[in-house]
Amino acid sequence: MRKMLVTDYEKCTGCRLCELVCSVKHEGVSNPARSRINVTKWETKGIMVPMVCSQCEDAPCMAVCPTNARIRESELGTVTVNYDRCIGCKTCVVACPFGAINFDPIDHKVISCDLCEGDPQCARFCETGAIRYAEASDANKMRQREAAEKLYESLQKLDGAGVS
Amino acid sequence: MVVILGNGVAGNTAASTIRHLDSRIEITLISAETYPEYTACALPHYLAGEFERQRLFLKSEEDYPAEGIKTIFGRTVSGIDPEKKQVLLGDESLSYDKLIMATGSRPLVPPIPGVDLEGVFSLKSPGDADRILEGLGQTAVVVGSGPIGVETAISLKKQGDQVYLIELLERIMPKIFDEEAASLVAAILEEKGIRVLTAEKLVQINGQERVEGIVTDKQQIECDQVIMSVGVRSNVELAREAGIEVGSLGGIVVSRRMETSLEGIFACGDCVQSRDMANGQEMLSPLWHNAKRQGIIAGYNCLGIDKIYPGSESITSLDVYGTQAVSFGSIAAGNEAEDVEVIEKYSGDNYYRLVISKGHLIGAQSIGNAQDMGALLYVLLKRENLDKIKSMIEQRITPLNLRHHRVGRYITPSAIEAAGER
Amino acid sequence: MALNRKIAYIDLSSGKVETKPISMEMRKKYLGGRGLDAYLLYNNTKAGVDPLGPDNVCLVSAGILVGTLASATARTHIAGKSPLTGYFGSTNMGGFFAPEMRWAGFDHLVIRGKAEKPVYLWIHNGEIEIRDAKDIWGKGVRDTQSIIREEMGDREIKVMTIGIAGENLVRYANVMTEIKNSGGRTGMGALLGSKNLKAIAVRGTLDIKIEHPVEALEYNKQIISQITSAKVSQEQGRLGTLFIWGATNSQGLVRTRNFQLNQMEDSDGIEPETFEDSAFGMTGCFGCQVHCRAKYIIPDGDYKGTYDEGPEYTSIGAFAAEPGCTDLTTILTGNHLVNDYGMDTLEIGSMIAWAMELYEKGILTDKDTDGLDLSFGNEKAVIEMIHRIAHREGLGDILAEGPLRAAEKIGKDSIRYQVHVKGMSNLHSDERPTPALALGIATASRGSDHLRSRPAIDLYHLPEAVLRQIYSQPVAYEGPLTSDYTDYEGKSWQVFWQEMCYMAVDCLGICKYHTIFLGPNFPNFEEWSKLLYYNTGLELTPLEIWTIAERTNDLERMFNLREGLARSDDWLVDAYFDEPTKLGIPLIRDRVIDRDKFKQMIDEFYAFHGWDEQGKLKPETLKRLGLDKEPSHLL
Ligand SMILES: Cc1cc2nc3c(=O)[nH]c(=O)nc-3n(C[C@H](O)[C@H](O)[C@H](O)COP(=O)(O)OP(=O)(O)OC[C@H]3O[C@@H](n4cnc5c(N)ncnc54)[C@H](O)[C@@H]3O)c2cc1C
Repeated sequence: MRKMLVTDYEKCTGCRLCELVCSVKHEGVSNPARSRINVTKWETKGIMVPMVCSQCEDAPCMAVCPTNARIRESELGTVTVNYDRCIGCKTCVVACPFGAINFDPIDHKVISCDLCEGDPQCARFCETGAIRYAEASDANKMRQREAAEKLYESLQKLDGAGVS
Repeated sequence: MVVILGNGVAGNTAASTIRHLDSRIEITLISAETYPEYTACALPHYLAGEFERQRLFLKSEEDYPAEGIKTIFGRTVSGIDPEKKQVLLGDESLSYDKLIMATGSRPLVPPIPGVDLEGVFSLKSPGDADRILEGLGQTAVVVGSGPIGVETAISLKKQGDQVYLIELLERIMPKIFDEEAASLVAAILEEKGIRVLTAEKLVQINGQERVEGIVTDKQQIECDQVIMSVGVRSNVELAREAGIEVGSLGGIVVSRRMETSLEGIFACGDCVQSRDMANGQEMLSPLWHNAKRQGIIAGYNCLGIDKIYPGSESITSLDVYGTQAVSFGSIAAGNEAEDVEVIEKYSGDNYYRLVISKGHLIGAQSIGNAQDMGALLYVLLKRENLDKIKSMIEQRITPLNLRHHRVGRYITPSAIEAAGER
Repeated sequence: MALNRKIAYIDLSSGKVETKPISMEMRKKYLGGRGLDAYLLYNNTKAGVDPLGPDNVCLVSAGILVGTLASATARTHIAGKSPLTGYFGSTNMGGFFAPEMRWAGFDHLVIRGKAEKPVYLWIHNGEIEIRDAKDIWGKGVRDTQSIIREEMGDREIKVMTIGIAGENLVRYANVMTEIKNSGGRTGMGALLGSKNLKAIAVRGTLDIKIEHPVEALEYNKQIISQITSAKVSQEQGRLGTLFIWGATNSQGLVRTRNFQLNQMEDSDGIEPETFEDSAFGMTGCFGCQVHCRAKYIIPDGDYKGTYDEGPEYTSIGAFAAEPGCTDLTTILTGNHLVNDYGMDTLEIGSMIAWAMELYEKGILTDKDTDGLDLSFGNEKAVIEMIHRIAHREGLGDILAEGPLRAAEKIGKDSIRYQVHVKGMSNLHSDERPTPALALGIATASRGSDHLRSRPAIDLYHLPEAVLRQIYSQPVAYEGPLTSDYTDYEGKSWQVFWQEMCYMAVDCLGICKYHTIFLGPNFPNFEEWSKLLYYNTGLELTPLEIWTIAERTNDLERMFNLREGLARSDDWLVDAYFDEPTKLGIPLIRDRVIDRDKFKQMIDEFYAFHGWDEQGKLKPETLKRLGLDKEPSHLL
């Protein structure tokens, strides 16, 4: 069974260690702007959401790439970039509903998660369980859904409390 | 045996799809051009001197036999006989069981005096780019400011030319951006030294044999190159002659299985007209990703495997000197639909514009930030009701109310907040 | 690499901005963060400078490991002459500001002068711009940050800002970032306010090169496990510093009712476990896996439904134990208000509790309070006083002045009821039974302070062997050490050692919770030496790091001495010596600090430092640490 990054934002503390280790692993530098994973925060609500490529089965980024530069790498099933072909039009960035494709401002290229050759550092360093590298079983999907429901509930509470 | 007309992305995708599904079926791909598959989308980079020529090509000649695809390159198909199930190549003919028309499009060349002069070009193929590069001079005039015109202007400017960009309407990229967004792009071009001339009409191209200048309704400009980029026209002549229905927009009419009005003949890519994924209306959307997806659908259905085309998406994403200009769906200008409502917002240097009709997002434009647009595109394609999104924003429970959709949870804040400024 | 970040000199009077590299020589002597700030403060101010005048400087810095892989490299340090104490002003906050400042290219800012009208700084990839702050002046901490982000169109912008308290020059105003990261001590918010500097916004996308990335990643993983496997970290990760309050209150080590008692008995409603109902998960600072900040929604009252983070140990002290309140909503609301006004929880809680005691004693009357009933336990009055102090209304205007100035204004013998050192209020803990902790607050360089040298692990009764292992590295120590926290023996060495330990991490930019503060097995000089090497390539032995800590601690001392500090300032208020504890477990009950023994501790502490009996640096110490030429104006 294929493994995937499973995120659970209810557990995310927003520390961005994932961004740090990602940029160190890939570029040898600390620079979240060059990380393949990003944590988006709603600061005044205390909501933090790690956003990373889901390696979608029917990937919009692959579909829209006008140079066939986004390709499926067979071993891990990741969607990667053939930089010899990429023209930097960023249509993939536009098409990704997760906002999970980044643009590296130093190398001027699009970047997205490559699962670190099967040992994703973000998951390895995340001790809260907000990011896990797990089998893409239905159980995981269930858990993800449960987490969403739970968060939804707690936010309803918040809403009931008259927050604007 | 399947015969595919066209060596563009539509034809090649169809061919690969068929091969993927059936390892034995005979596939022949015919193209008037002599190149192996290339991507026109990379041409501006080649023209700018940023890419080597080699990088234009997606396939080499050897890739075709390796995939078991026969090719006939450099031959123009002169006709189709649907009765006999044959395509005609001059005196020769070739039989097919199934035919896929992927004849693409060609640049439109308006009948303007002087348009045949040496030094007047359009940009579609590597050869076009080669010729433009050979004839590089001091001053170039790009006529027409669609994305291709704008990209061409930028490329020539990067080559050191003095560049004029002429647009008939009041703003550049008039089909893709509304006024504010277009003017932001124009300002960048101007700042980089491209002279942007809007509401100006080309009336004549001057010169003996070679181009020497142009005349507009306002002025004369001396130049040594003119690039015509006033739009593309679908290559439908073959189809029409064969009795295949061609639609009012000028594209081949196809079913949702990409089948034409004649059974067993499919069509895909720039040569067809299709339906807008967001609103179901007939449209021409000569864009790479639509051609590709249509190629897949045509491939499946021509083998009898049912697969439905979900519709086309119009997405434009353009790098304008490092600033991303993005538009998808419909624009507000000239939109006949009732109750078109617009939300505009600046957030720092980023500009957002949402076009809304009857409570639904029908288009969005942004200058600056590309990353926030994916979620909005999703909202548009899913025909998500904006009032729902709005109340969601007001309640500030953004990631959750869209929980029914996997992606809704990830909608980025700026995009949502842009949507929230209603 | 991580060492190429620059220093910027910003003159708000003239609008001039100058940036310079920081030489390797300075790095090796002072590292960065608080260490280099000590140098910069000493070199950029003159004795007697008016803390709220244009000639005082405001220093903002990131530790040298900030943004790198060293478990929690988030800390921002802010320094200047303190508007509260007149001595070394220094505060340190977590969050995400310092890493972002480094990605924007800077390690140190030296801000002087005073802007004509309110401004904020915009720092982006090596560039610094002074911008008009008219849209954010008068705004709270949260709104300021959102407005700047909106204006600049970038949500990733990190902002440190003052709230309304800083604008109103409340002498213990904070510098804040995000929801609750507070640079809370010594009134650095007032310092920014006095310069008409509302905020500093940073955004950077420049690389910090990690010198040995593979090793740095692996070592970081190891260090993280070392920290998160400890029980204290897990407790902290569940509740934050609240757990410390619960643990110490049960023994009788917390201050209540302005030091009248040392335990809160009716605390059921505010025990950490009760709070869990309002909380919904934890958050934390950059790169940290401890995540010690709870996220909560105020359950009731005027601010019902508002999101905030915390509360901390000090929030309970300030809004419950000290003013004698027992209501959770008051704590959560008070915490929210001080976060948004930008005020030091500790100081404001102490000031309100002090005023309550004065009211009880009749020194303050209804006339002074404009009719507000300032009795202990009046929850509404606590909240009301927070508003009044931030806005400097009525009595609030006086209390906004801090312990000594307020006591002077109120007169009578109000000073008798102050619990302070060097004009700064003490943490809401009770140190009478714990001489080591008492010595720490009495001698800390920024006034009363528990985060400069507190050997908190002393409270664990650790076996002597364990203590010896910790406290005899990286310099040998063969003197006494005892595991009894009520003892005086060897404690001065522990305080001295911790002072070096905390200084070291303040130079590196690592959080104190990742040192031997709460956990005896946490990283130490040995580990920091490796972290420095893997991340920056800088090769410093544990002993060399220790020496840098000594140097910079002493430089802070030199600043204080130059401002007139004397041995008599390293002392506690009389109550510590004269009024025994009344509550708590037997070991803690009936305790005072013994004056003579305490004096002896101070002598020892001075001796370890190489200071003379007056607490001044001996010439040989100056020489040994290379401080004999200060101010040397090398940067
Ligand atoms: C300069 C430029 C930049 C572009 N940039 C982008 C972009 O950034 N993003 C995007 O989405 N789209 C872009 N496009 C559009 C995109 O390239 C087209 O949508 C796409 O190439 C269409 O592919 P196709 O296979 O349908 O047709 P084509 O690529 O036009 O291929 C048609 C094929 O049919 C063959 N053919 C036609 N008639 C005959 C005949 N009678 N006999 C034999 N062969 C025949 C041709 O030789 C050719 O091989 C750009 C286009 C240009 C010109």
